[in-house]
Amino acid sequence: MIPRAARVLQALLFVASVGASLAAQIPVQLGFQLDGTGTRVRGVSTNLATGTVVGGRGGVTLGPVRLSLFYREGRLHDGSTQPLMVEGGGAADVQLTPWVAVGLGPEARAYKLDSATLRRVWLAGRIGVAAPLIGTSVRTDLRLWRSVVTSAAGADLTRVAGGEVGIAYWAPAGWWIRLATTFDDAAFAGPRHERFYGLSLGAGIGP
Amino acid sequence: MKRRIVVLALALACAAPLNGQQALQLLARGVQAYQHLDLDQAVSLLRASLAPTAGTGLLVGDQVRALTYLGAAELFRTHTDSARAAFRRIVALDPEYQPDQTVFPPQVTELFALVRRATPAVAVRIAPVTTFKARAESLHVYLVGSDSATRARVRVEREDGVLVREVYGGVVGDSLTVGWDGQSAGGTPVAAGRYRLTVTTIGSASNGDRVTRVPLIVERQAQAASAPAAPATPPDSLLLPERSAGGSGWPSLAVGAGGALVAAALPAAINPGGDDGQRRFVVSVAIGTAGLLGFLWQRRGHALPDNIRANAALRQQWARRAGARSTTTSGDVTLTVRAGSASNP
Repeated sequence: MIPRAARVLQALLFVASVGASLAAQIPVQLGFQLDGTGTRVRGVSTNLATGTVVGGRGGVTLGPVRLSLFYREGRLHDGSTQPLMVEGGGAADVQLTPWVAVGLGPEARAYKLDSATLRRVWLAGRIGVAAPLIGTSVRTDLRLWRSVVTSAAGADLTRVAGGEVGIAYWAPAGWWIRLATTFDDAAFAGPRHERFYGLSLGAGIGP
Repeated sequence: MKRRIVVLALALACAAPLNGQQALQLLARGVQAYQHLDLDQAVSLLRASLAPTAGTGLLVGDQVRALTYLGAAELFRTHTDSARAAFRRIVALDPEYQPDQTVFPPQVTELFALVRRATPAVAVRIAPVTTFKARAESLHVYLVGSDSATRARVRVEREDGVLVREVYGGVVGDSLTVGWDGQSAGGTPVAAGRYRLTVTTIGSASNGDRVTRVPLIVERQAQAASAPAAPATPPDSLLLPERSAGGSGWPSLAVGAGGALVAAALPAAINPGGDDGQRRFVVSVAIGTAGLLGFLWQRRGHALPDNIRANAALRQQWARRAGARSTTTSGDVTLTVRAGSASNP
């Protein structure tokens, strides 16, 4: 009779060995980026809130699968208040073809006002396409996403949909720079919307 | 002034042909005078035909003919020394020449034979073009001596007179064929270029040495002894394209136009009440411009750096291999020698 602890240990060793074996066969790549986004948000307060948020993204690519995390924050200005915008999330994307990827991931966005903090959380499905413009050095990409699950404390967030269109230059050395416009619309019950726009400039290395 | 220049130019242009015609006329009249036994007149006319001013137009054969009649006329005028001098000039011009015994009496032919034997001279004959393998084969030089005791020295020199190879030195006799194997004194095939074959007739103390020069133009082709020479450059079939063929470019243009349109319209479509301050057009213009540049880039074709590097490495490899092969077969050199006309400086 094998003790329970021994069976668990055996199972862990098996999983670890299989994982190590797979990791040895699947190419692993790491990627990082930093970006700054000129942001314009309408609907959080009575006036248009503008400001710059900065952040970064890190990811690991295991064959066709890419796992990534991102975070960015910045203070906005709407004339009377200065809400702090904080955003983060994660995603798991699968590269179906060289130019098409689909993914799923949670995102959270919060606007910290003087009196309250507005939090919006959603799980979004997304699809991305990319195409070369000049050789393979200059590429354009489009990502569209839409929430499948939403949550907003104290509010009835019905859906969040958005997208991103960008153009990137990939240097032969592996680094890249990217200019993109980002937009999304968070719809609440009734006529209320929070509409986010951003023009971002980023640089990174790796996929 | 212009008219004078034109007249002078015409006079100069006509001078040479007139000299040639005049010399031939003088020769004909001299021969006619000799045949009429008007020996003084014949000598005068024949000398005039051979004079530098008139004789420039006479070919070697005509000069020999004039000198033969001149020698005969002088002999009959009992100017034997003058006759000998004329005959010596004939031997120098053409060591193989013999007066026609049906035209000239025995006194003339016998004196000529005496002078010929006493005047060492060598005629040089080379094929106009000869191709041979250096070291293994030879360029043949046919020498004709004026006497069985004629001696000569044959050497190949550079155009500036520097000795390249001593080919022969000794008795020529009535005739002799000597060969030059295309090598320098150091035992290596000579480089391509201009050379000269110098034949020096070794004369008596009274006559001195006499030099005949034949210009040579040497071309060389290196060849493998048994296998064809390895080319220094790889064939095109082994080279990668260094420049992409000009493509249609339409996909780039379409993607650029589509991307620009999406960047301009999609944010407004998804986020109709938003306010982006028209910043999306920055991205839209960037994508559209890149698509247009991509279109032009594809249409023109573009350099392929990886292929260029690979081809350069392949070319170097072939050049090294050809160089090594050339070194191992350096003895197998084919020379083509083009010989000019012999001259006596």
